[in-house]
Amino acid sequence: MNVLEVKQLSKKFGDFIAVDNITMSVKEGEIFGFLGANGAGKSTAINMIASLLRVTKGEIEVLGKNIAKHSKFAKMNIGIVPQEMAIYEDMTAYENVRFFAGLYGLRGAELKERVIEALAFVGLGDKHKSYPKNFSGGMKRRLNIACAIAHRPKLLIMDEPTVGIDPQSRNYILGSVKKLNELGCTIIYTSHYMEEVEEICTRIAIIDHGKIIAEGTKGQLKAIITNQKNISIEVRSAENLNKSKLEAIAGVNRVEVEDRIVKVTSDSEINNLNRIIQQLMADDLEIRAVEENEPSLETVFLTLTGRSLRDQ
Amino acid sequence: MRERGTPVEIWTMGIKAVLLSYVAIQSYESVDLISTWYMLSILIYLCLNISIHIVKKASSKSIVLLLAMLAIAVSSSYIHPLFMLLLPLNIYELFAIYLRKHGLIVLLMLAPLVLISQYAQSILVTYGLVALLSFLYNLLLHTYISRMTDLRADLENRHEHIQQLTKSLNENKEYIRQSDYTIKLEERNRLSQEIHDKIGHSMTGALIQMEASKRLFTSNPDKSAELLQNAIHISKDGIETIRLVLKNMKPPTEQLGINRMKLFIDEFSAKQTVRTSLTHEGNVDSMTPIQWKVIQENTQEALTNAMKYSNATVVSIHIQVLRTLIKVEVSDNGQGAQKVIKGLGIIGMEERAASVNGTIIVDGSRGFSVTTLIPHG
Repeated sequence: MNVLEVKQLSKKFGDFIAVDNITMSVKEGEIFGFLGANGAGKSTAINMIASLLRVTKGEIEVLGKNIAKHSKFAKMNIGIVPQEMAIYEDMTAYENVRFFAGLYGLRGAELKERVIEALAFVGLGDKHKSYPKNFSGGMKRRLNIACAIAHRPKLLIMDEPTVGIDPQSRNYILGSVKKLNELGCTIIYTSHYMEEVEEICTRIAIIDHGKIIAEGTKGQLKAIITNQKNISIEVRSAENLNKSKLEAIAGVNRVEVEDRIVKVTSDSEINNLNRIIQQLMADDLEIRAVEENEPSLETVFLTLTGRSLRDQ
Repeated sequence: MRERGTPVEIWTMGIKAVLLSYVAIQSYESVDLISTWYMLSILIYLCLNISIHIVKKASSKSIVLLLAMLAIAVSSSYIHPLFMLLLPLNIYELFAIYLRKHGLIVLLMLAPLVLISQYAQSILVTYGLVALLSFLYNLLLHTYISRMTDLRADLENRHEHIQQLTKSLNENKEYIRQSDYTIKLEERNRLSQEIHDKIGHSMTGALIQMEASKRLFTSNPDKSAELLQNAIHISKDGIETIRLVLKNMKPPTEQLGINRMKLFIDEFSAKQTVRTSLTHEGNVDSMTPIQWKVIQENTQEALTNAMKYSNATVVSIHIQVLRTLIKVEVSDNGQGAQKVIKGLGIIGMEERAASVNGTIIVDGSRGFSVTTLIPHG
């Protein structure tokens, strides 16, 4: 079942078209990544899905129900971690989470239990009574996440949750995203950081000037450009190389030898590096270095949009 | 030629006539004797209100209106208070020339109420009613008339546009018919030339040889057989030539794909002052004719736009064939656009791209660029 279904969604601000006829769906259990430069329309699209912005045209369905007609249902099932921090500095961490969870209708013992659970989940279990104004950027971000997950949403939307924080907090947040996902929460994730998206997202949409220009798994996106990878293996001497045996390995398309470097071109979908190395070892070639070149997501993004993600 | 008043004038005269009749009838009933002064003031009112529409300059119009208002004030205080009811319309007419704010005008129209409340309380309510009704009437009238004028202008523009379109459509039809005919002629010409030059000659040669062979058939069978053999050779050559001519009827490769695009870009840059460059990477031969068609039409549209709006000196076209996607970018070094507004041109490109499941991206931030993305393979 699709957790999210977006049909021909558009948003206009005056003459400016921020989101232009987007159609997409997110299946249960996915971590769906939105990649796009600043101003590409990511946040606008996300804010419409979270009912924070009025839709100009199109339809959004959450868990099979139209959010315009079932707005309460949609709100109860969506958690949003906004780009701008949404926490109260002069309320304690505990009060912050209790406030937001209370908005979703949690009461009494259940409320208390969920708040404690959410704070523990983001690693702030020992900071119940502390005030966010004394928190580091990373801790504020984690508190922000706790506020969004206490009501156990089916769909969690995270808009750039790792902007401007230290690497440690970032790793912690990425870890919690994966853990949440394992617990059955479907996640939509936007980020400026290609590595993050590449690491955690199961499916990715590249968005540019308000349109989705490519969508698919990492492999599918890379395959837009090429389905080949280059493996360069430096050996002490390539004299004993049995070229035909190397070429017989599944996926290998071409083998070239340049001085002491063996260059293998292979299908990028097939993982055959082990077998190639084994073959070279069987030929008694002394391996000095191995380098594998696959097109990165960055290359795909650059090729499709003509600019790199962080070149603003 | 008879000049007719504008709709506003006619309707204003109408409401004035209605009000005047009301005033006349009311005062006739309340006064026993109609004095000459009474008749005079009505006539003065009529004269002044008609001259408003005769004078053209705004300043003289205001003077006439002031006189009319003065006349009304005098006659209402000396002859009959009901004359006051004619005032609001003139107030509106006077101030509508200078003021844009309707709120202010309506206040001015109601201002005489202060005076009336002191000197002629009997018509206080009636005046208020008439003033407000006159205001609403005029407001409505102006709103609708200006709407109508706008719509009429719009309609005329559209008519003109349609006429132009029809004209160019007809011209294009004629052009197509002409070029169709020319192409047919050229093709027929080429065929007859080739048939004449190659096949005709062979056939004649073979015929002569066969005639000769027939004559020598009994007297010199060996020679006859040789001639016949010659005829067979010539006929074989002829058949080969026919095959070649037919094969040449298929378009040569330089009229397809990237070559056609190059030709088109060259033609374009020869006619225009901007420098254009066409580059490509990847296997352009794998693209289908329909994809080429979409790309060429979009490129043409983007180039035309660049010429019209960008003030660019260089336009570059880059065709990139990736594994499952074709990307064509037409970009210029012109002034770009802060805000890209989707006009008919962009929508057209979008629709063409959509016909092959593609999409387009328009960016005005660094010069202007139109990128067509088409899935492929």
